Amino acid sequence: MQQKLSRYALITLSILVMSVYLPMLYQKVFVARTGRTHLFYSPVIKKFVFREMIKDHRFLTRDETGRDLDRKTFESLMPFIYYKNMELWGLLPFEIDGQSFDKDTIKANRQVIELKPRMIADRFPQDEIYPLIESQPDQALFIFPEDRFRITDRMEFVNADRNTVDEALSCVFTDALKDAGFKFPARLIAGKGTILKPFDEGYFVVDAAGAVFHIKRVRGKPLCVRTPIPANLGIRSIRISENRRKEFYGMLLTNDGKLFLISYDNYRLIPLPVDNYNPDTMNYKLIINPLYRTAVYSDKTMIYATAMTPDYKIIAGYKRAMQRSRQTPAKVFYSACFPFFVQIKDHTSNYMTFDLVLNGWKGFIGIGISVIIYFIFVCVRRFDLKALWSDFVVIAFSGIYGLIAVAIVRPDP
Amino acid sequence: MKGRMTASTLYKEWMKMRLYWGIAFACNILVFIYIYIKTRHMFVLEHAEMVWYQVIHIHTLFYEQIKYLPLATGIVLGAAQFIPEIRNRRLRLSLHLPVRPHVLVLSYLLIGLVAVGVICFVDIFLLYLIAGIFFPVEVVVRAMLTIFPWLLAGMVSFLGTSLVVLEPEWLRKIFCLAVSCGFVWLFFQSNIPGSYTTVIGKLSLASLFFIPAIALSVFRFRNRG
Repeated sequence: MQQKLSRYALITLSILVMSVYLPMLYQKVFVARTGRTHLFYSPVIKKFVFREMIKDHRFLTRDETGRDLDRKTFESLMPFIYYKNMELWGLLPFEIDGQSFDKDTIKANRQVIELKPRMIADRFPQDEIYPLIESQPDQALFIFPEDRFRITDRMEFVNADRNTVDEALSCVFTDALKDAGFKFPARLIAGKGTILKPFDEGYFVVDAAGAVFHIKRVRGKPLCVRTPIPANLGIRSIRISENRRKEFYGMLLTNDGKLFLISYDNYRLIPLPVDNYNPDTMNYKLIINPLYRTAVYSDKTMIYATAMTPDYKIIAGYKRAMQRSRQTPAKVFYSACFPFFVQIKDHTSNYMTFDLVLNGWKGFIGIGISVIIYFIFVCVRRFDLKALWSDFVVIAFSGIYGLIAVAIVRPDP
Repeated sequence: MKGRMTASTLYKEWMKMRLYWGIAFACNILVFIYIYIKTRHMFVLEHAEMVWYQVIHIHTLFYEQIKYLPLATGIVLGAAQFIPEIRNRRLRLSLHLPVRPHVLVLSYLLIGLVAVGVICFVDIFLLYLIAGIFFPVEVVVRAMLTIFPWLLAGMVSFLGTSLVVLEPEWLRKIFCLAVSCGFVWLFFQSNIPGSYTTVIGKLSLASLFFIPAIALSVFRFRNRG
């Protein structure tokens, strides 16, 4: 009995390992990777246009009506994105709807802000100690402060030179936060802890009560503003932008999957389109040009786009199945061959996973074939069928992995 | 009687492993001395706040030299403990002792795991000391969470080596080697500090399957005459 249990322990271990690596190997060898679909709203023809890699580095470029476009036409339809090519082709400045646009106007009025699942606060590991950069430095470039802060039961600054808490600075900032009505500890701290940015907007901090505070270091002194953002909004993540256009501070995601921009107009929230948006699986991109805002969001299977006016009124929408979601013989065979796989990396998160993912009903085909192969093997070798019933159970649950494992890890006579 | 036998088993295993354990221990200590010197040098070359930026934001692993050290330690100690046992089939003598084979195997594995575990414990303690000198507690905690899967890989590599060495049949030996390598490789799939935090429990539980699997190799070793 002990020997039997030991054998099944080795078989289980083998199945686990095979279900990680065999599907991975198959995908690398047989499944051609296709790129994401790039979907835009053309301000020229007022239609959505897209470009996607089909196979062997060939591209499909079309507008929403199905009209094929060559590369130059495609780029000409998106003059705000490909304005450098437009300049090379001598097409700058150009006119749309009676408005003229030159290079400087385009550069000053374009912006892209993105929220990928792995950028969401709870989907990547981070050290919760942040640099509070001087927002009005005495020199042209930002420099890192000698300290970093954490917010626990107070706002605590740790000096990097000595690796000790700076009590005086901690007291000054803690008092400023208390005066602004901050309830310790912080639930969320969002900012850009880098000096490679045009200006500094400090941090947006959600306190224990859910209120959002805007904290900056100005001339060494704290500047704490309690924003009018509702405390009951249920904030999940904030992504700060710090863009010279100064239209909004950044993007705010709520627990129920709603997205807002935090505007410079007294922190007013601007809702963004989120129909079919799942923050845990979809990349969300807001593309801004002088005439339109386009929200584009997609996962592995679908891509959605919504075009808006500069004041975020929806004017058009479009959705499309991603090229990579199309079934190919290699993908069908994959689902039939491997009933499941163990996923160790999920590209929507920076955390590792160790999850069993089922490949759907087609997996039963592979399981059936594996059981038949083992049955023939047992009959040909004249093994005792009754004694090996548990092997059949293993194969019935694990398909090809179980077949390989029980065939190699044979029971001892 | 049982107590004396346990003490004798412990002594015998220690005698086999002590040289290799000593070498592995010394190597681990030397690597940590190097990590201390290198980290200190980083602070000499750069302002402290820049070093913190590199470690916290750019994810520079100032302790990356440890990465494969527990793995190597586990392999060396596994080989040191079990290769002498299969030479001239000495393990068969032990299996004739008045102790159940699986209890004997478990005690061998436990001794080996403790030997690897002591080195892993020293590793994590030294990292705690070094990181604590230069970095805030958040970085210290993250560093320890980051090396934890590497340490676990050390324990699993010990078990994997034992599985492969004790397996008497060559084809099955190769299969066990592939399974062990594949499993151990799971612990080295990400360089992002702290990325294994969510799965370390599952991986630890799955690692336990190695113990009964090794017992199978021992049964087969005994039965092959």
